[in-house]
Amino acid sequence: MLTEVRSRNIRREPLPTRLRATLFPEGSASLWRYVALIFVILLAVLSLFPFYWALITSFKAPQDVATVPPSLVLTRPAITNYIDLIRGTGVANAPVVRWFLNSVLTSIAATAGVVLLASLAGYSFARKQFPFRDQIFWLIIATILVPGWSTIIATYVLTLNLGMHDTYWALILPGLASPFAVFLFRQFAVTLPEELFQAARIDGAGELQLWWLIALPMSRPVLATLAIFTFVAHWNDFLWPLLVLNKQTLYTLPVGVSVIMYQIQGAGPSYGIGMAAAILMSVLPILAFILMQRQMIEGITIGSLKG
Amino acid sequence: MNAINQISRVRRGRVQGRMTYTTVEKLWGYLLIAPFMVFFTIFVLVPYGMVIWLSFVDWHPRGVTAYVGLQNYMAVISTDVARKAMFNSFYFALLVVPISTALSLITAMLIVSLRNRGLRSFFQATFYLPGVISGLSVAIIWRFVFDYHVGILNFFLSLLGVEAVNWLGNIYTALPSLAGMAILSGNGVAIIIFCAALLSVPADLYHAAAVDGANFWRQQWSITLPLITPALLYVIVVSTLGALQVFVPVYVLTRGGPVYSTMTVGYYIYNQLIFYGNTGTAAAAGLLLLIVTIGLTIFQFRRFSQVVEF
Repeated sequence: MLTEVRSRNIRREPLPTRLRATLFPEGSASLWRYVALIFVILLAVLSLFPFYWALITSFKAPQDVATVPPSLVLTRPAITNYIDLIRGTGVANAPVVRWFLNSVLTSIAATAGVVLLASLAGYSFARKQFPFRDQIFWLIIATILVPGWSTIIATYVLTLNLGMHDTYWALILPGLASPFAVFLFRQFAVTLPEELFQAARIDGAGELQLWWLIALPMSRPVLATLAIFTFVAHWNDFLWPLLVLNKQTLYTLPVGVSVIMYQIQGAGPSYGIGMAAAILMSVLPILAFILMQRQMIEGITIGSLKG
Repeated sequence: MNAINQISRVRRGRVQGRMTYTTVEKLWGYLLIAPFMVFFTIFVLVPYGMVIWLSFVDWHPRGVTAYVGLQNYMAVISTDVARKAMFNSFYFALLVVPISTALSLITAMLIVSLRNRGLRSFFQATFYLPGVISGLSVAIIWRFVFDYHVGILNFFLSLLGVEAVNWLGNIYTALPSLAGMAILSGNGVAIIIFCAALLSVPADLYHAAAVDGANFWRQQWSITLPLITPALLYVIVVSTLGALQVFVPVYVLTRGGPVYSTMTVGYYIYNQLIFYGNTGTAAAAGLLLLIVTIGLTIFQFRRFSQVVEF
């Protein structure tokens, strides 16, 4: 699996015919393939419809938002909802722009930290020999299966005792040691050719240089995957910031939006603001996804089919 | 020259025969994982210990923390709300996991049966797209979809002549509505995993089975199913874990109501922690959830290892 991913990152090659499994055996009536296509399109429409609905609603004028019957197309586009959202309607002086920046800042910081720690540790687990290496690695991986709700209370108390609540640190530090990130990087680093490292050693490269000059540049695709997953996860995280933030100016965008939604009771015309908030929160993740679909989709496959 | 020889001899220590670690190699191995391990210890391992401690004490942010024995566990087991929360979480998982797994598998089978590679990638991306959007956004959107008066769901039903349903305000429909939302918006990852698994099944096997006279269903049962079992197991385990911990939809759409009909374990723990300040009961409930999920995961692995041998 992993060697395949690597080679495809270098040049995209179609899978050999032998591997092309299909629902219908080769040579079966092509009519069935069209039936399949129609069903896929129907399912896609079904799963995307709510997002389409949110998108057009967010651009409706407030008086058009909650009409019966609703109009399924956008006739009079307006950005009133977005302006109301950014001005903080419903919550006095809600600093939506500040929340947006808080989210950007903490997500970037957390992503940089996760990638740094995971690439160092993943490289070591993949290419170094030391006692208890595999035991430590599997201990880290096993923690992925522990439900977040089981330990979040303790992390809450711990960060409270460390005085981190209502600071950016509470949003950045607890997520830095990501088992999934180490797993992903290690699985990739194992497949790098040993000859490169040998050659660099003969040229006199030190251990950190091996990591920085060989392992990291060679792992660019997996680093990109890792960065995008971490960024999106932090950007979308709602529960943890909700627990540790009380100061309004420090809210992340999701926490702020949830407060606005609570205060305006999200009914009738104010759904327009809610939809605008939902779209605003989704813009960056969707952009990231459009730019890096292939890495993300491959990342999911690596994560699940343990190499 | 001499120095370089020495270095490469030391480094190659493990490659050439004897599996001994050189001291330098060991040291660097530990040094490189050290930064990760520091944060892992503080924010992952220490909380494991702390949560056990918290579940046996009455903790106060500023004040005396008293040992209370099993009182927190008793508080969880004996209160109706907590039991209702456990029941609801299971009910939710039971609704979501089988239906969404089946739906993702069917969708993936339809996608891989498309001949055009570009079209396959396009649909994989299309189905994955909702997966990058935050759960909070999805929940806010579905709150509008489910709205009694102006929601689009009741509008479509009215076109079919069905009377408007108060989806989120009725104790019988509230939790199934949340489940419906989860089923329709959380399949992206599973679909991609199933597509990868289905694409790795060698087509030769189907040809051979067809020659032997196996019909379509027989082929799916005897070839596809056993070969995608690892992916199936992964998807079921992960989605069960997720479903048992559902929180954001509850928080946004129903806040546990009406009449606790959508009170789940996640929302119960949140409530205990934030509204009542009962870290003890929250910790005890969290640990009970852990025990249940470990048991369930082991059960799922067992069941599936039987299927694999088939």
